[in-house]
Amino acid sequence: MPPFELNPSSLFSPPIVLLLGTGLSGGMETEKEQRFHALVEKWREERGPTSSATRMAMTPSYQQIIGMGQDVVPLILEEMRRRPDHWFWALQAITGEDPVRPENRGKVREMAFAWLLWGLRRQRVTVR
Amino acid sequence: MYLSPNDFPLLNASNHHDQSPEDDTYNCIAWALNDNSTWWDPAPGDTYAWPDGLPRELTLEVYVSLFQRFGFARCDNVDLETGFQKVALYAYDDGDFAHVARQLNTGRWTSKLGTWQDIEHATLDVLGGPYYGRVACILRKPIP
Repeated sequence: MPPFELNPSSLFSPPIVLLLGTGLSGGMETEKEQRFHALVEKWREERGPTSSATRMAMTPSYQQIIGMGQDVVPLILEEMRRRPDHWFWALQAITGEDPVRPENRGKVREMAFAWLLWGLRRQRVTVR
Repeated sequence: MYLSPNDFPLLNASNHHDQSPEDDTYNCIAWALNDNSTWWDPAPGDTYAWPDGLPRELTLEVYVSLFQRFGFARCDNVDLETGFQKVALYAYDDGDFAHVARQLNTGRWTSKLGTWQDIEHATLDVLGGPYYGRVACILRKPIP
């Protein structure tokens, strides 16, 4: 059997994507999870059709998500696993890190993949 | 994404149609450059694709410089010209860049609406308003 190669296209395609998870509550959402998901929904409305990550990050809901601190990182990674989106600013602001390789700047799927790998290494994401 | 009159007051069913689903992975700048795999953005922190040496600012002039690096030059009209690709840059009243649309070979225009869908629109003015301000600059480059 050939060795399994983990790459951005495999990560975001079932069934591999189903193997990754944050180990967060699978049933009833906690208060923190509820707050986060409400802010995510609000952020996607607030940001409108902008092409600027800066404008997206300056919305009140995104700033509130950043303000939730380290506790929100697994939730962001879980959200990013489902839908690669513009969480890079928040992750950098909260963690002070940036695992994205220079050649992948602007490649959103590859950037999200780098953060999910970072999460695996830091045990913020687990293989179920 | 349903485009409501609150989003674009001048847009209606007769002057545009959707060309794609929503997509977070490329933006209007990429789409104007015929690229649907990159998010071009001057956001701080060297996060996204942005040319070396170009200021990481949201001003219209910086975005004009970005397109100049791809071979575009200023021109003074939106007319369809054989042998040229045209793009139209929108800006807010404060001079910041807001959006860019690319002309199709029919004379109509195509736009990627941020993380929303691509649309084809009959004219440039239909995207004017609170989200994208107004057209501030037209650029063109020879088609090889």
